Amino acid sequence: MSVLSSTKAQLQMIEILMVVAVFVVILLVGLVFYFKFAAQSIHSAGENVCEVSNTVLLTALLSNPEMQCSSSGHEERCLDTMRLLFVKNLQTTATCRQKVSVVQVLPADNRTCTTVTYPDCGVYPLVNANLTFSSSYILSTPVGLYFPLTDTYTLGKLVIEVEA
Amino acid sequence: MRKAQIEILGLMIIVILLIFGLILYFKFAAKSSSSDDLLQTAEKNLEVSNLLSAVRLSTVCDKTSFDDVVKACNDGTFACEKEGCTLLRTELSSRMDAYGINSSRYMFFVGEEMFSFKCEGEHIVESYNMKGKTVKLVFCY
Repeated sequence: MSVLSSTKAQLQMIEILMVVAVFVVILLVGLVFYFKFAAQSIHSAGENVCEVSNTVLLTALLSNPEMQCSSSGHEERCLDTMRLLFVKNLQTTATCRQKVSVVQVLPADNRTCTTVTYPDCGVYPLVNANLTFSSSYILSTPVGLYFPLTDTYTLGKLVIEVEA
Repeated sequence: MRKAQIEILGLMIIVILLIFGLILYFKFAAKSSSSDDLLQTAEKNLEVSNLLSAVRLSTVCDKTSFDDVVKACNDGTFACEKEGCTLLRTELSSRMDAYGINSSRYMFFVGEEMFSFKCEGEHIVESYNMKGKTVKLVFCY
């Protein structure tokens, strides 16, 4: 009788241990998934903050008095190409690394603008021109470009390349 | 407690854990998609607003801007020695091409008259008034 009872108790103990083991496994799988999603969410929030701050930067740069064109003290919604040549210490976002440039699209021209090549050029590097990113995405917005020497306007894009 | 009752309790714990997991999954999935949509809409609005401003300012010939060509078209006069509305069509098309925007993605109106092809889908509209008429750029995406 006591041997039988001992075996039954052992079986019940094993059963309880197995249930606890299964419960722990399910709990661990749940925790792994939870932390995976939480990490993904934090990463995506970081990217989102970066994208938002760079979208704000796009707007802010267009109204930067160091680059914005003006006529008789009246500010216009365009960038003065001559001022772009002398832009220094432009304030960018600290949340992520980025390259900022202004590219002429009509007529398109791939030559980099310097005081020597201007106005026969089309790319005005503003910030971190020499940076290269292994993976990146581009935010851009159309902008009017003003040429004070000829008093003409053409089309361009303000481009921010952000490290992904 | 009887054995059957303990097993039902175990099953209930597993079901509760599964429901908890599903709630967390949908919470994270819904959060990321809604904030992305908002940001993309803001970026598109900014793009269309800046596009119209840039195009309006751009020089077509000598001291004649695209805005002047729109005025000439509206008044039925000439600009850059060409009929206003004809010049408007060609210059608009070349400017949109320069930005890689094909004709199926935008509509341009001066008043009720359309100077482009019809586009379909969701719209973002940017407009300004000129001599009582609304000049409108509709961007489809």
